[in-house]
Amino acid sequence: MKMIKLSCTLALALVFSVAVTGCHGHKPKLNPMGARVNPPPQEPGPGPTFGNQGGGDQSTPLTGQEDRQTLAAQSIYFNYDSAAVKKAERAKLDAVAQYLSNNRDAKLKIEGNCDERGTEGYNRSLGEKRALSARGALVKMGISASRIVTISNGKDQPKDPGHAESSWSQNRRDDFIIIHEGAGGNVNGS
Amino acid sequence: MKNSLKICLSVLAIAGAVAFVHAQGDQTPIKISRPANTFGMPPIPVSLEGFTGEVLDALKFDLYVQGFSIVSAADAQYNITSSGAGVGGRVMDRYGKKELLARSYSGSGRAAAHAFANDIVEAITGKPGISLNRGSTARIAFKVQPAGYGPGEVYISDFDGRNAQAATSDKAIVASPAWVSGKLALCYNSYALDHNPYIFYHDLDTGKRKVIARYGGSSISPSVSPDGTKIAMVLSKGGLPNIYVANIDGTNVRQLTTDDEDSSPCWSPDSMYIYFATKVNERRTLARVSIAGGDIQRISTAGAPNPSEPDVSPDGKWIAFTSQSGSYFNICVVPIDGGNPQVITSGEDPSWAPNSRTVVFAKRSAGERYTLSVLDVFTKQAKDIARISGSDSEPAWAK
Repeated sequence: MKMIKLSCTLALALVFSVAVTGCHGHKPKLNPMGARVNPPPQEPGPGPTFGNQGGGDQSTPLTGQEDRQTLAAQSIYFNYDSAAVKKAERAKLDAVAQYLSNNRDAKLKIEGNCDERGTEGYNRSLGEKRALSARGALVKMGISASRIVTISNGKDQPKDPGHAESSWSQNRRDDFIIIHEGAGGNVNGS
Repeated sequence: MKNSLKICLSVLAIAGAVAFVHAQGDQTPIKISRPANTFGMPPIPVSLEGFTGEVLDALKFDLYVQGFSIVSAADAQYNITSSGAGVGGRVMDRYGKKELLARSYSGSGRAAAHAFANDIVEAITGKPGISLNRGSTARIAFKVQPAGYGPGEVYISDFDGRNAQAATSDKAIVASPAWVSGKLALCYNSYALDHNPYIFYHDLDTGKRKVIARYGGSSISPSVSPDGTKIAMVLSKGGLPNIYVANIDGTNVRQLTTDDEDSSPCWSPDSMYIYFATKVNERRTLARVSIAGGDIQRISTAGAPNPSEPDVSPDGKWIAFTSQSGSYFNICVVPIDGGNPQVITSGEDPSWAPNSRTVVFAKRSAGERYTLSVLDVFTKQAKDIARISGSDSEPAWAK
């Protein structure tokens, strides 16, 4: 088991150093891809907390193996420029809460997404707000806040890359990803 | 007589750019004060004679995006002529009847032409040009998504889009590259670790990079203070996407706002205030907050709805930002404390050059992909730069 963990770590380190190494050569002065990524610094500790709108504090990210399939059908969808969970989507949140109640070791990552009709900067925060709305709702249903983290993909991960409302309505969404902590991470983009 | 009248009229037409004018045949100087930069001001007409190829291309580009128009020698106020051998030449003020610059440049091609353009701008306007940054051709950083969406890389290039090279090779979602002032270094948002958005500090000289913000929730939208000591960013670890400030190495992180939904922080030139987009009572607005804390102050952009992506000019006079109305996006500029916004051109995510008049921005093209363009806000002259691939966006001008 220890052996597996070690080789996982090595593989991870290898994959990442491959990802960040490699040289584009023709401009020697600039060497952007020289070295590995240093380990993250010590966590500076959480800042002050205000309110409880996104389900409260989340001090550290979740890392581990991602299961994007199990709750794929529970993705919830939003109105244009809105982060409010629609009534019609509540049943899917109930299903997510049920799954988390039945699987006590599972943790959840909520990814908020936007359609392309906004600026990149605005959408990166709007996507986060959408993920936090679902987190807040799940915490109200009794799921421990410590089991749920959020991220925003802005408008970078459309489900449907088309340029009409039929596509946009699919892209204004939260995806629910189960994380099995300590089971190795994913390094590169999906 | 007819001729001198014609010249007098031309002089009036270009009065905005002229400090001292001699009317032909009249030895008494007519003093015309140079007005402050204003929107819609006419470009300064210059001629370029004897230049060819990439030198001509670079001179034209650099002058155009700093508020000059390239006209015939007879219509120009300033004649710029090649010295013939190598890169260089002289600048003559036709009305002042004096030589403003005569210089040749070592090296060849674009780099030397940028150096010449830099001196031309300073000789004519008295203010530094934007073509050079610490002796090299000025650079921009931006995001490239080969498929038009999804994973991408951070690129850097000269400010005219030439000499582009990838700064990352992660094939991960990436966003918001921001230069570390005075250094060949970037902060940016990358999802390369754990599929989560963390903020990286990347020294482009050594290739070393490290994660400086890695919190639960998203760690996004980094912006480095002009004095290079601090980073503003959006974190959601406290329950909402809010503005935080930290030391440039990520330590001493402090929450500054508690608003509904903050995005796109940027800095005042004195590194004392952070400007950002937020929502107040469900309406989007620009605002600022002191890094010492305290209440946020709203900044009015009445008439330019849904402001986002602010960037404060290095002289502290203006905020450039994106205004959105339905599916229309405009680059707008408003005085630093708010007021009547000027719509400059269609586009998004402006980043100022050091001259506080040129910006690089992203423009939607076919298929909702972005290309980059460089704009002089006062004359509203803009030139697109070459696209790398897919979608190029979120440009940042190195300062």
